[in-house]
Amino acid sequence: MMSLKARLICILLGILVLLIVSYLVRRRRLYNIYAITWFLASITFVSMGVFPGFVENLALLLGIYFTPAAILVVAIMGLGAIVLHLSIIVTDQHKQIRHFEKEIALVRRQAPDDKPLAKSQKTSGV
Amino acid sequence: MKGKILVIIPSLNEEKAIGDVISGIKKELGDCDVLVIDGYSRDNTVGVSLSHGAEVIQVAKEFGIAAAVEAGILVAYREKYGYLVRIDADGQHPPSEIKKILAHVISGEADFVIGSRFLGDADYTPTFLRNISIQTISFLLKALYKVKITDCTSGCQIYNSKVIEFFAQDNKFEYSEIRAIWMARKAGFVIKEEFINMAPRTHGVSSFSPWIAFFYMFKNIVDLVLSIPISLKRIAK
Repeated sequence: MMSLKARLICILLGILVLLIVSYLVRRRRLYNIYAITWFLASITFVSMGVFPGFVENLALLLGIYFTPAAILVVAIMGLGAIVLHLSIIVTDQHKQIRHFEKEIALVRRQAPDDKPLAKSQKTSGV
Repeated sequence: MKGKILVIIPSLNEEKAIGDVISGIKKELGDCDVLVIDGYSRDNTVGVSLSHGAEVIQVAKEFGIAAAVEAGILVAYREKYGYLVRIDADGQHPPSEIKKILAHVISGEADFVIGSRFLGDADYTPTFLRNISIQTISFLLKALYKVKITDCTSGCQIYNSKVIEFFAQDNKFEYSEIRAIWMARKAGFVIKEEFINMAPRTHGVSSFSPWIAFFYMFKNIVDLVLSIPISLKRIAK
């Protein structure tokens, strides 16, 4: 059984995360599509507080005897999802940087009859 | 002639060897453009290349030889070259041999030719670990794609314009010698392997350290295994 206190904490934490993430998106500190996993995580938390039956059933399903531990399981899974999402974002950005590096290289092409550039500056590095 | 030849040479700190490579290639192939793709060498690779009549672009070495070759493929595609020859900067691929295997692509016999060190009696023996990795990947290539390549990591690859277009238009393409082989094979190009003798390295050091070699092999084996086409139709059969 989830106590009323635990349910309230779930709801409040979920709303807090939702508010912080919304604030960051509004201030353009967080790109909206990157916020999607955070929104999903916070909505899950709020619904766990509103419908405690979800957590209890999950605990039964996983064979967890101490119901609130199921909240932790959900939280860890949520964090895992966020980290995976970040890995995908990093891969996308790596591809973009590679693309720019190649395009810059083509623009700064040197031909034999040109004067060699005094000292070529590195355009980027990882 | 159905198009000009572009020779791309990825290089890093090869000022001693690259001059001879460029002049050798120019002498043997005659009408061709040479593009050196330098990884911001600390020595005078760029100056030497320019003075031997090659054009130079620079791609930061952190992006690896892959990004260098991709940039070369882009140049070949945008400037409508007919053939792309990729060779190493250390002078290990003798220009006269390049000319010989290039003929197989020009005659239209194959779309993609690989210069192999293992088909004949080359003056080259790979280290034990490298040999095992090459054998493993060759086996996987044969098992998964039914293409018989003995030297899948060879730095000598020649493409015709169709293959250049195929790679250049794929914006998710990340080059590796092995990925180029199976992607081209999947797309239905004719791949051929020809013997090329390999001269021992005379100057400089290889950028292929054991760690890099390990990651290279790991990456390529994962890639190969995950590239198996999964089709429900096939399973149903």
